[in-house]
Amino acid sequence: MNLQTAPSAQRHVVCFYTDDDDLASVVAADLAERVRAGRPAVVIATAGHAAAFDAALTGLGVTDRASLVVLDAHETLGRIMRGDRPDPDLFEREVGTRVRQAAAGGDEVWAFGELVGLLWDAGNVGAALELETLWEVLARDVRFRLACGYPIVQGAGDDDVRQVCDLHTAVVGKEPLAAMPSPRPPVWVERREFEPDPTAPRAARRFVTGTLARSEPHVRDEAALVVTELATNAVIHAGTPFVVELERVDGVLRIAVADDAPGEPAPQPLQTDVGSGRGLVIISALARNWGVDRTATGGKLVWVELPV
Amino acid sequence: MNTHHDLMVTDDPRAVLDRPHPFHVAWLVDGDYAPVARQLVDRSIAAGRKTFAFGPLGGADLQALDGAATATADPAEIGLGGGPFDAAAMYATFHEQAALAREEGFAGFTVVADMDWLVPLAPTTADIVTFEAGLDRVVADLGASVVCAYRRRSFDATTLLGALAVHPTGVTADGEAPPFRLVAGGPTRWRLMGEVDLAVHDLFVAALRATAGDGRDLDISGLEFIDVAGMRAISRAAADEGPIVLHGAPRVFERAWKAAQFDSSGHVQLAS
Repeated sequence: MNLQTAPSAQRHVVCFYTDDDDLASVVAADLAERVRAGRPAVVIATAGHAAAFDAALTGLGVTDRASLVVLDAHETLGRIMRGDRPDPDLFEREVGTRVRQAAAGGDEVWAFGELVGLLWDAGNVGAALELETLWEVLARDVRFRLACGYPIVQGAGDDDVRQVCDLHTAVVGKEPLAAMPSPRPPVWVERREFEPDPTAPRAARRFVTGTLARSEPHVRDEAALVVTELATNAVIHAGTPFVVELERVDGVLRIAVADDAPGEPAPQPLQTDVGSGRGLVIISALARNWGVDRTATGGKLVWVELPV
Repeated sequence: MNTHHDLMVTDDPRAVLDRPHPFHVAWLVDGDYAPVARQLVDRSIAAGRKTFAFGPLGGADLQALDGAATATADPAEIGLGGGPFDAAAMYATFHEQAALAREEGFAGFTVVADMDWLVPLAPTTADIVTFEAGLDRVVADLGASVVCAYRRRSFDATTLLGALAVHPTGVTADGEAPPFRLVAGGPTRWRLMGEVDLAVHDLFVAALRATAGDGRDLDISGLEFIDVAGMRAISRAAADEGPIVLHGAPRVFERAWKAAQFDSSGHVQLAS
């Protein structure tokens, strides 16, 4: 089974910017094209940026804006935060429902968001990254392209910037670093194929914990849970042989499970009654990052990065 | 050898004879049952314990033990009155007979059971696992000794694995150890050890059902792994059958449990 992924569409880009005009110059052209064609667009921006986009759309001759939804970023952020962290249920209520409504006609939604940028600007990098994950979760069952606006912040650490870049499929706008980080080769890679029977999750877990025999216990335990969930999903939902790949690179343990079945895993929104599908919610909580790609043979590859 | 509780991998059936009283043993029988059963009965009688030999009505092995044991019986008759399989009725019978044995001045109470008595009742695997898990608590409370002999020709591999999972001691000639054990606890009412995942999910759910209505304190400090479906099963069991207290939850369990918000209604308590 080939783990090579097909080229992915740029569905989640980050726009670094230094000033309002700078941001508008990057975003307005795409936004104008969408709105002029009557295609759905959701903009969550600060009042200043919303005004800049409005002026840009007017300058580009876009008068009919029926397909455009604009939300104030500060107000929306206030509604989705619980303490200093974004709340998944509040995010769904305030943002998810708006995006779903926009997507109800079947067309892919174009979205611009500054919620994470505001958290980033306030120095709450952890919350910014969690919010990015909530957007990724929403993307599992709603079709949209998301551009995230991040101000270039004086004193932002290279690691933080690198983490932000890693969460996105492409970077547009200003270069946030003097030189963009180049990927370092993995320290090691292990892979094994399994048949889709009920004992396969245990076998996959043995493979992973055996490979990580000299790692910290909490790393082994979290990796065991992650690979078991992915392998269980492969057995139950894909029903095809699947490959587990382990990769250690740059302080990150990457676990990937690839099967030959189409479709994407979708974490279920948390409910008050006990439902199914919470495995990916747990993975989202444990992982630094995770995602789903298509394999070259049309199957899917779910990858999870754990900090080590 | 299983590291959690005793699992003797041996083709020597006399291994069942060496357990110190009280014990609860699942013995997977490949060959002859009666000779070893007779030795068990004789040792129990010599120790002054009231000794029952259970088995299917009219079975030759049961008849062979008649006269050696204090009494021989088919549990389907004395426990169920010829009716359908009913775990609660069987537990009640154990309690009654243990009380009677004490009144009669016996030093203890032993049952040697040929589990072929179950066959005509056609219980499901889940029924058997739930029954045996609950029986382990009964046996521990009564300080009784029970040997449950399961013939491989009479029960499928999944049922046999489930039976091993809910007995503190197992004797089997082949090496398949149950990945998890759910047995009567000491300081807590129940102990869950080992690994719970897809391969044994249904067995785990059946074993967990036995803890309903019996003071559901569960020691999980020996739980090496449980998948999300297993956590969900605990959450559902608590919501449907009564609160559960988990003691000694491993760190990753606690973290995953809270992330998934499995227990927003408070039916499961994580005690330190």
